[in-house]
Amino acid sequence: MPMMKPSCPTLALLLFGLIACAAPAQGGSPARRVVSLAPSLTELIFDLGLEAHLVGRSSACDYPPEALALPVAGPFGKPNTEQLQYLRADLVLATDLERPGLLQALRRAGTETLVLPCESWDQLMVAAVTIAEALGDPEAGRTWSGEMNGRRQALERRVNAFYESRERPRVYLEIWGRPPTTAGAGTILNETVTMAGGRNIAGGLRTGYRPISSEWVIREDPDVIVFAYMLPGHEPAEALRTRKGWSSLRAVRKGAMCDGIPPDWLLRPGPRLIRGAEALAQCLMDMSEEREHAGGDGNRQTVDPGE
Amino acid sequence: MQYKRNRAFRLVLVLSPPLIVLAVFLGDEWHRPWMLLEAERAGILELRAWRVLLGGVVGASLAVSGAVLQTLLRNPLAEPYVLGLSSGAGLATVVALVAGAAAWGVFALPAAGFLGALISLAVVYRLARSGATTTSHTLILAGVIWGSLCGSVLMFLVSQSTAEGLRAVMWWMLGDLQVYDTRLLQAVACLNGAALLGLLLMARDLNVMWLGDEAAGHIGLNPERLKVMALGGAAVLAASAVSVSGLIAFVGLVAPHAVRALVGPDHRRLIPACALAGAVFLVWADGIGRTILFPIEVPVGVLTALTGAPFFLVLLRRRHRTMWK
Repeated sequence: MPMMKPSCPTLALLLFGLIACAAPAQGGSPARRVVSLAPSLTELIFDLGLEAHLVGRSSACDYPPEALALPVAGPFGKPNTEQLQYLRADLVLATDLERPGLLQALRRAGTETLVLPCESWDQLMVAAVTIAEALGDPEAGRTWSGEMNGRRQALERRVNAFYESRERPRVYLEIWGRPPTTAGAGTILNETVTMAGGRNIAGGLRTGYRPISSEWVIREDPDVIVFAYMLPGHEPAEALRTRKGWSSLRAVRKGAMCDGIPPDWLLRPGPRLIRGAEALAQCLMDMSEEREHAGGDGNRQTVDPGE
Repeated sequence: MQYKRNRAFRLVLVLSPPLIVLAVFLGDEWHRPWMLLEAERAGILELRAWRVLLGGVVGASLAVSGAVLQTLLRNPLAEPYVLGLSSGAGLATVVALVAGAAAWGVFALPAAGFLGALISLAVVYRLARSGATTTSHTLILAGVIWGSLCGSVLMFLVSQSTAEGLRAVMWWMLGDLQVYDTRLLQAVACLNGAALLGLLLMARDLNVMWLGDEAAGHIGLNPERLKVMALGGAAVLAASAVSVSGLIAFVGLVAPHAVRALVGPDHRRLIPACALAGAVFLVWADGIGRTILFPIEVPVGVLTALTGAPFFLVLLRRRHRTMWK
């Protein structure tokens, strides 16, 4: 019975097959089943090159386009627990969970949950390292954060050199127009503005993301207005020009408005944030140069902002 | 009694306009009002003036709408909220917002709200109508049920929308008197001016309606037709107010009752006095809202509710023992 005696080549093939199958687990990384509930974290996982572990996303996760192929496990920060079970998720990643009880419920059900708030650059770096570690590839996290920090330092050097002999522009950042909403201290947007060489006029307010009084913006009279609208389909700069009382702003009269930066670059504390910061820095530098070329014309009319 | 009421009426007429104008100075630097008149504050002054104007129009509309509804339904707790008008307008606006109507132009959302309020009134009126008559109690009941139905659908939509979209909706649901486009304010002011005038011309008939449908019928009025016309006027007032400023609760309740206690139930005095008092109430509530936490704004609906809800409870206890006599 020749069939009972496997030949040498067959054995070798079998062995090779076994090794090939076990390969992904070899680097000490058991394949995880990860559900990401925040668009920024989904982007981060893709950017780390660890997307093979992803089995689900939130309905808000729409970047990179490949992410759209993943099944949805619920809205941003609000997972559907049944769907998590169905996806057999063993690790849930979120920046924030809408219901505090959910965390306990998930842990009771044996699903590991990592809540990684990303409201500052440092927190973003921590999130990258933590995720990479949890997915068994700590090196990826370190490399990624090293690269990001390098880009940040390069940007800061460039910005510092540019503003050595110039005044840093005072920036009003609008994330929503009705009512005017801005980002104050303790937000990653505030940090991004600083990184890009601007001074956020709301930076002194402990407001987080809050509606703000139009009167206050008019009184502060910022040098530059930056838009990062939360919902698409708006022409914020155009709408702002016609907004009552706002036409008296210097930035509006001179068109010192940055509205060409994709909002997601600034609003999502993920891998594209650095691109947002670079684009914003460029826009602010352009505006500063334009102001200089326009000469004293504008400065003569305006009162010194004091401070 | 009559003398007192006349005096109170004159007092309301004389005091309200300066109070409304004074509200312009509420806000940042309220303790140094002359600062606002300086040239470099021109933008802020303009902004305040428009805002006070909008507050006046919305306050007057809501108050008169509430007063007329209370008379027609002969229920002291009636106001645009109770009849489901506000919820209907809210639902329609949120539906439009979710559908992306904000990008279609300034009139898209307000028009949706307006339509929602009118549809609500039609539905509630139709539901409450049995044969050729409509009783006040069924009308209120239908209004409450319709309101809660709209409210649940609205909450469903809000729960489905993204976190970012939610913020815009939430703010709208708490009321906002900032003027973004003066064309809308002009349109609402004209429409509501006409509705107010119409209701004022019906003041004598409304006095009769207050005695009940039967009494009105005996005098030779057509109570059903009158009810439809007055309800229509009240609905237009409430709907356009909601469409331009979001949901602002209790103005339609507080102002009419306070005014009724002062000037009596005669609609020839009640309607103009209500319009003025409602305007003063809302304009001052908004002024305080933009002052206390400056530069953060307290939504005006929060302040009207904070003052209105206790008032509502007191009213509930006293019912119409004193104020309606």
